[in-house]
Amino acid sequence: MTTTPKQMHLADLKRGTPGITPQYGEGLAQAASVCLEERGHPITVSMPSDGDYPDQFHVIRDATTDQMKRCWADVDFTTEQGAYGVATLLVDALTPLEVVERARKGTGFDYWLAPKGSSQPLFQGKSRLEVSGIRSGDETAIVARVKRKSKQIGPNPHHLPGFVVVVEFGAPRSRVVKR
Amino acid sequence: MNEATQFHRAAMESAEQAELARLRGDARAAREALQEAFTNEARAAAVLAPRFDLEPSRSVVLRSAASLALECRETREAERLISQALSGDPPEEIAIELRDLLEQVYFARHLELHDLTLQPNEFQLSLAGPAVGFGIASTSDFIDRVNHVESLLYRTAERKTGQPFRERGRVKGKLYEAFQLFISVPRAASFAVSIRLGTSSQLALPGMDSSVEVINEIMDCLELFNERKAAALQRRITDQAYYRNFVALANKIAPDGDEIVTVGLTSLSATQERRLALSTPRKETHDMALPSPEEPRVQRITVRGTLKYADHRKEDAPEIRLIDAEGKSYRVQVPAGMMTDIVRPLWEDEVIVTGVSRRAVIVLESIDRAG
Repeated sequence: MTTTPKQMHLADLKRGTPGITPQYGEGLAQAASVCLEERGHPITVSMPSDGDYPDQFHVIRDATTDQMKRCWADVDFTTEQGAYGVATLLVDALTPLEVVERARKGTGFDYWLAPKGSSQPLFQGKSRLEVSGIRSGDETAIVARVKRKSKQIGPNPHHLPGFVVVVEFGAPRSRVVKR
Repeated sequence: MNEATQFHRAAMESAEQAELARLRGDARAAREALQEAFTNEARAAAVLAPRFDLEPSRSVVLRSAASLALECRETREAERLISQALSGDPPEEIAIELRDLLEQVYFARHLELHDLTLQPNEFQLSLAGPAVGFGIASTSDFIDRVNHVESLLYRTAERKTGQPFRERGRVKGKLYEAFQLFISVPRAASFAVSIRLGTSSQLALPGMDSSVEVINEIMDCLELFNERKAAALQRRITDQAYYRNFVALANKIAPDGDEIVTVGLTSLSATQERRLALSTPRKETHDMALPSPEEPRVQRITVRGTLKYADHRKEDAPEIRLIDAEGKSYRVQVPAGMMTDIVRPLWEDEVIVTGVSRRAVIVLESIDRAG
């Protein structure tokens, strides 16, 4: 059975989420666009998502400028930020959750998630999100990254669910795993 | 409820500051930031305590406050916070962690000295675990450890006075007279005794300030051992025989993880109490051993048998033999630092030996009495 691919507009990040300001969201959209453009992808590109939430997406990126490319010239940082952007949209499309807060250093994950529209305090209904980006890699690289990040997010003092999202910009493809 | 969130955030901010201060070696700033973190987390916990409907947030924050209280040595407060958390309906996995934390609180109470005034040349040794009741402990668990502590004290004194590692014979007369060990009546804590390293003012040893230096050295080295900082410990104990001997003795003192789960040491350092809880089980400290020159290609084997025979004729590589249940004999080479304190007390016992197989000989890495 084939499914109709969902549209993923990176520009939607500019709307922000409870934990991402529109300005920072715009930066994430730029980073993801630079990553896709650098890998030679057109404005619209197919991206499968597998793991615990298999689906198909058409990712629509922004056109990039020279200034954007110079701004996002650090490959590792840009890949990480671009992956945050894509992961934010994947979580929004595939789960009833949204990004509500950046996690502190040392917690072992990147963002706190909560049910959309929820205003529950502290850890009520919260999940954890760990994101990893690969500029260009094969299945082995993705499997290794998911394994490493799953281990990292595994034991947590709050005993809350965790999500690992790995975004690979070469194909592109993504994997969403729930822990 | 926003109030609780704000207090919790402030607490996490201070906890992070404490960690940064610790990393840059500023103990005072770390202590102050930790106290600040505890104050704020306790405030968040106070807001959440009556909200039994707010699980898991209630138990997570109460547990976090209790953990910070324990770090700040406010054991009674930690006990109270854990009890509050358990009085609600925490998720099972958090309840398990709360009970574990409560055990740590009780052990911290045993590390406290209560009415006892410790002298700078004394330290308290306490044991906790299933083999220990209130004021009672299995003789082998206790006596063996005291013997190993005694060996550790003399070995440290010998090392600090610059003597080469003594492979045989007793502690030299002057050192033996200068440092004498006294042990107090056991106290009903977990199971605790004070060990005093007595020094004679007339018998001061050159190169050694006092017994306090020996105790501080042991505490520093055991701390590195407990944190499994092998490289740092090797920098501190540069002689291989002394290093091997220290690690083997520390392993014998460390908890086995089943019968004894924590071994505590409390001493006085510059008028401040210093507490060390050895909690890493023996089986998890093998990475502290000196690496074999042929690593990682070596074949490591374990044999069980009765320790029957010792050959000291080869000064640099003495051997022992094990006879297993079928009468098969195994030659075991004992490296420097292991024979007197580690192997000899097990003479004629049934033992388990682990070592590196090298032709017809096993080079000893560890030896334990068979359970």
